[in-house]
Amino acid sequence: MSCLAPRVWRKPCWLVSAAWVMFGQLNVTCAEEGVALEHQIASLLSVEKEGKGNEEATAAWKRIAAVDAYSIPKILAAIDQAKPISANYIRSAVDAIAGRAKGENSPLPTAELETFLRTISHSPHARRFAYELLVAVDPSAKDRWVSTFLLDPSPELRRDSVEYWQGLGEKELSANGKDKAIELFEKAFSGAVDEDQVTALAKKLEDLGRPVDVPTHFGYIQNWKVIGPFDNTGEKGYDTVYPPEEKIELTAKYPGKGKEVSWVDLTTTHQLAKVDLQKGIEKAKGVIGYGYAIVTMPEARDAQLRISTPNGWKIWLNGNYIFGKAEYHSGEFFDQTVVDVRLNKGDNAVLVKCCQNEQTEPWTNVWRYQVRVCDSSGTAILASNRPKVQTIFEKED
Amino acid sequence: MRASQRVLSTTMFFAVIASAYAEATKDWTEFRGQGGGSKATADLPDDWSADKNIAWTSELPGRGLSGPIVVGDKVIITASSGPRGDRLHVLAMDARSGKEIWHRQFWATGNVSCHPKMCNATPTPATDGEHVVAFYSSNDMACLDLDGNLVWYRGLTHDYPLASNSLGMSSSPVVVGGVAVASVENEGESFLCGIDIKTGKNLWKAERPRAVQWASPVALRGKTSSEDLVLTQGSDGAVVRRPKTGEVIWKYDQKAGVVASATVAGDTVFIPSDGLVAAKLDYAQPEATVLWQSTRVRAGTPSPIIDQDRIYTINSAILQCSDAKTGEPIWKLRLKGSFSSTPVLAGSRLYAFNEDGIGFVVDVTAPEGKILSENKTGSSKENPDSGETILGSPAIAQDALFVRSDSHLWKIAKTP
Repeated sequence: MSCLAPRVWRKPCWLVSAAWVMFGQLNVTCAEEGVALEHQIASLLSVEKEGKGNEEATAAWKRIAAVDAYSIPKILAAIDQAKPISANYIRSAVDAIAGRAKGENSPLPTAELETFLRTISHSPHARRFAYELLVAVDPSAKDRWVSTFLLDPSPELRRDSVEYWQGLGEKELSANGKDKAIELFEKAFSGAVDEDQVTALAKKLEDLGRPVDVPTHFGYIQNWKVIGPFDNTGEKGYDTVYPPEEKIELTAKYPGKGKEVSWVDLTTTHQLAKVDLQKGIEKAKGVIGYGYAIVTMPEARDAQLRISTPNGWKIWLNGNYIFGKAEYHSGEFFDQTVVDVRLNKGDNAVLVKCCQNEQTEPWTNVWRYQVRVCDSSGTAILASNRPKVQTIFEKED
Repeated sequence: MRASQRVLSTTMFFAVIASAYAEATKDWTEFRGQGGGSKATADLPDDWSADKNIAWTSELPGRGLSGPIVVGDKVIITASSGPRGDRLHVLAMDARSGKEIWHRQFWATGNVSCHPKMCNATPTPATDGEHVVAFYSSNDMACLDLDGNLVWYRGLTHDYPLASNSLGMSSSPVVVGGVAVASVENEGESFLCGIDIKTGKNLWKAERPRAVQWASPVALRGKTSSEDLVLTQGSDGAVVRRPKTGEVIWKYDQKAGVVASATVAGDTVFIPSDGLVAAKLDYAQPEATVLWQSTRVRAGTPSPIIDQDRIYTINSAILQCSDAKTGEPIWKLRLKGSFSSTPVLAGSRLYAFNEDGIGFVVDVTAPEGKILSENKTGSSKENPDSGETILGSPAIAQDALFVRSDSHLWKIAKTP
């Protein structure tokens, strides 16, 4: 029920409407208000880049923020179709509604929030938000829900569930030994998508004699063809179009930096599938290397490519440029850059350009990248052509 | 007229035209307070502990290198949380009680990777007394009114996808002349922008060199909003712009530092560079006149403070007092630990917090500077040696010091 009427008579409005419904009457007033709420939400959904639509959204935000807490699930549902900026307008309006309800000791629609949470098709962000609202007023909801989130589309909900199952494993290990504990740790591992949880559980399982394949768990691409070095003196090679950007010919040879270059196989056995071009090509500075891989999908689908590298980089999918950054030695972090892509049914060609500059500090002696394919929760999407890679992994340098 | 006399007379002139808002308010409006001076008139305690001179302690929902700001009876602070640091918070607390008044959250729309020491809530928010601009390393920018109503939201990396720094962004915005001015300088799409505080739309966007830059703009407030100016700093120098148009009216085009921010005192700007540069801010002469340059005065991560012809800098745990007219060092005092936060000055007392949460109170009027106390901030009665990491710069308002860690905000004051 959505009421945009002043708050002084808003609560009577829904009570009255309930009475009307009991008598089979049509609540015209609140139906109109529902339409008005949808109109305000539409203004928030219309915000575009560079502030376009801000003024209308500002006015709508105030009206939405003034509605009754019973409208929260309906407002949250709008996040399903919201772009990132609009989602923040909506989210903060719900913050305001929930904050006011808390201050007034007014109830939240907990049953409706549970229904919202149960509906997996809602936005992961919105469901997580609904869960937090629910737990804030009903702490017992955590006990009811947390075990069920292990494979949830929301990585934050998953994280809580992984922690829950890992906790059960620890208790089991202390109380009864490792057999049942391993099962619990493996269960926790199956849902983990955050680097810290995955690596901690992998170590735990390895210590218990049950090693796991972390690169496969994350969906890292491990088998590559690489070629280089091409010239990147003065970082000018970043925008230079070398032959692999024009056409992939795996048997071709090209003039590289100081020598003829050709494609060679490089399979990474690094524990997080870092593709080390210093090993695959050579140790050099002011150079560029390319990595090429085929990812075969049984069906077309939405996916994400998640790239990490301390070097300048570009990435193409099926010959189309996707993204890149001419940023050198500013760190190397898990899932450093995330790009949304559409994978074709069949073969998908991934091409990475990895650029090393001429800095001489010790920490700049790295020329490598990682690419993984996953869904928006961070769960691996494994290619059907994914070959078996040796499972004894190199530890971090 | 000797150079020093000219400096003094022009200083007086600039003091007269100081912003009406700056004169009228005792608010701490932005990174380093009004105009980036890092100082205020206040009666603050010389020491504190778990059971002494802590007016209140409030829990925070996440990490932050951002400092608090104070506007009226509200303390505004940002934080970031979540395993990816992509949950963005902005909170208002009652300055008298520490009680939360409102709390808004957002989801980061830009790059969230950063150096482990940094976090998304690194820039300090800013206010013009009506609006609060909360800015984050992901280049998300939320403008709210003082009651927590969202005025507008921008994702500057969402708008300009190459604008990011994998190590994290730290430059704090200012709100000056009705414009939110933000420095988004990085190795991708690098720019400065002026955003209309009422509509959230770009008034101007100036391309900048593709190089990292963490220092913050400085608001130069005039008598009226139309006279307001803003000083911005980058690897290629420092310039003064009109905030409504971005027009450059003065520039220092030599190399400048990219971590510590410049400080303006009267008609002189002190620019971290290879050491420190003092340049005359004379808008009749658009090219800077360098008054002196010294490699013997160095600001580390904390920005310099200028007060009564003295410069205070911290570099590698050494607090140095230097002559603002000449750049000559006067005294040095060894503190302890590493410093990320910029200290603040109240009268004769300088308050400097190291990363281990030790707050040093220094009498800067003592001949060689004197440490009056070392205070473990975040300690408890049960565990007096415990402390919390402090990386954000404190605020001074209402005869109190407001300091944050990754998990708490404290009000340090003689009286609650």
